[in-house]
Amino acid sequence: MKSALAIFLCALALGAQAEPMFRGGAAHTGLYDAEGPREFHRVRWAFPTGNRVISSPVMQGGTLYFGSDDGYVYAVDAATGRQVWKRATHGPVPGTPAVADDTVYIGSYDGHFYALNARTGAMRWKFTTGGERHFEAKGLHGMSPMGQTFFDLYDIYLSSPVVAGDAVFFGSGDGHLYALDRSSGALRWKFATGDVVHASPAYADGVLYVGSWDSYFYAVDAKTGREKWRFHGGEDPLIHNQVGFQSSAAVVDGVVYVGCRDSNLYALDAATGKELWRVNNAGSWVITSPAVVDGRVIFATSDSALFHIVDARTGRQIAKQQGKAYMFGSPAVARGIAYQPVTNGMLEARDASTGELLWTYRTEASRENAGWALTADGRFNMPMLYPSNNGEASILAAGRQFSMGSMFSSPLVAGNTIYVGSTDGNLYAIE
Amino acid sequence: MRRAALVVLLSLSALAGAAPPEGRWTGQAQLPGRGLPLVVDLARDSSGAWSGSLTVPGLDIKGAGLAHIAVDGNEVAFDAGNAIGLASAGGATFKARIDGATMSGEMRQAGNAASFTLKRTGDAQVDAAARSTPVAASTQGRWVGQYEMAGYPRHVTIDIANDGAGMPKVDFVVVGKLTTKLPIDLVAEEEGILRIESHPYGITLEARVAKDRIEGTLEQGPVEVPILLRRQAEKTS
Repeated sequence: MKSALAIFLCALALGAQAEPMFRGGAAHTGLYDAEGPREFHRVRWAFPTGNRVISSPVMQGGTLYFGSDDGYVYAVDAATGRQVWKRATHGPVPGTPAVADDTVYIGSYDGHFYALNARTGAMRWKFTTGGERHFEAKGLHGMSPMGQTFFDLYDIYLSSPVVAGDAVFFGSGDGHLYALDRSSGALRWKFATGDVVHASPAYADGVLYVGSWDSYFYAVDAKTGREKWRFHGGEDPLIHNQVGFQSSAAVVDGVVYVGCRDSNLYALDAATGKELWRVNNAGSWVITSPAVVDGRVIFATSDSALFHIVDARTGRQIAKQQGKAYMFGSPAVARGIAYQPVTNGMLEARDASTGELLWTYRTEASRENAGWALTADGRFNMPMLYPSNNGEASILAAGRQFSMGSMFSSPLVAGNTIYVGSTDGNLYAIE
Repeated sequence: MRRAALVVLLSLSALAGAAPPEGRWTGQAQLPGRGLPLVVDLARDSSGAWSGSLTVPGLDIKGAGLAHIAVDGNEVAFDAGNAIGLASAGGATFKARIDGATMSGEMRQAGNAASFTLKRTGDAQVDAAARSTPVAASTQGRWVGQYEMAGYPRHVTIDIANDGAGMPKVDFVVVGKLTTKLPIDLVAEEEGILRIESHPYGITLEARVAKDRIEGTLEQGPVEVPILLRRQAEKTS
């Protein structure tokens, strides 16, 4: 009971402080102690990069840190939107950095994991993984020819690191979960899974929680790298569509909440891995990382475009709202409002108790709607996007979907401003 | 050279003499940021009824049948049926005015609207729609079997009966986790191959008919699996 209270207080503290790492802290609650905008006023600034911004920004000391698929890691002044520094890597940077003790930690598709000086961007060390790659499979998602191996265009993130104690932890496309010494970058241990790990590990009470594309979700001792338990999600040997943990878990009050491509949101006992409940979404992926606030779990789905609020203890539905397009980016909750990014180029503000839509911001690319990738009301216009299951057609279609200023980035709420990236290459400050 | 010029003049005069919308029309719809190539064929039969088809190279659409063709002087309107989205859910519609060899107007789809301009480029070449045909007498009856998809068996019962010269009456029931009676859009038997299509479910059965068995493949979306059906003897009471 005492430890439960301690976890609760710890979770509250994490939410209140919004540590500079993915989802506002090591437990990934998605809760921010800030007065976000209750209505849309304006875009205060837009910071352009050379390619899409899938990464989610984090903030320390008034500076925002994030990556871009142009290969750079950026530091930007949050007040003015002016660049403080940029640091090149040799591949896209679609993960979210963690910042601790004046060091920025982040991985790149170049297969390296970097520690950078937070003030200057100078490299402190870099670690070489077994190499990055996307999830891939034969006949993936029903693309034809079925005997062809396709890489997954929707495996769009890299694992965002989590910092705990004197170690930094992250997953890799080489199938491992890594633990590195924060100061030197030396390998402490690596834990092998059966496939790509692009979810971000959550950390609580000395345990890391992360899922892999091998269909398993793992609890791993942060000190030793030893497996404590594993949970088996769904499999899909035919078209590999309904398999894999892309969602990053949230851990609150001894419960792990995580979405899965098998279309379930799971609640697992953090100590044992026992399934407590699940919410099934009838074939629609749950890529978003759930936000956990005041006994409610908030998450959204991809194809079915549903925004869910469920009871954290039972999984019972509290509210369900129909959205317009896939939701991959995760909801950020601040003072009763959930800010939900959408792949149609919209950012939605919803009441965190009812899911009711409060306001929407739409990127210029989404409004322009090149080639009618969207219907007039903002849904994906499937007949104009996917003429066939042919692999090339599907790849082109995904590219056109992503050209709508899509928001895969998870918002950061700080002060009265939301910071969020877009595939149009901008990081936006919206107030 | 003189003969070539004469041929050109004759063909131009033939085009000029055609009823305003009749012919092949080629051009583009001006979608934002992208021109969408369109080829429209419109023809009128001896009874005066209009038929037409649409080809959209960028969307894998070749010769899709046009529906609701309306011609009023130089005004023409038609829709693309279910070719670019279901008609019931905002499929593509076209409304245009013809001025000489130019058809220009507005294309609407899924709530979006864009202008389009087409030029008459020749005679109409309307694609004939696939038509259902009666099946062989021996194909009629009840067939039962199963196929497996994603590790789960599906039991199938198909009742086939000719219905005059039109589409045979087919009851196609699939029992898996759910029991589904498929809506049937096309039934045809040619060269001993039976083809049954259910468009809303994306299912096509294509199988050779023998005396007591139908054996072939069932396609559902991108997945093709083998299927074997056996004739079920009629129950005697």
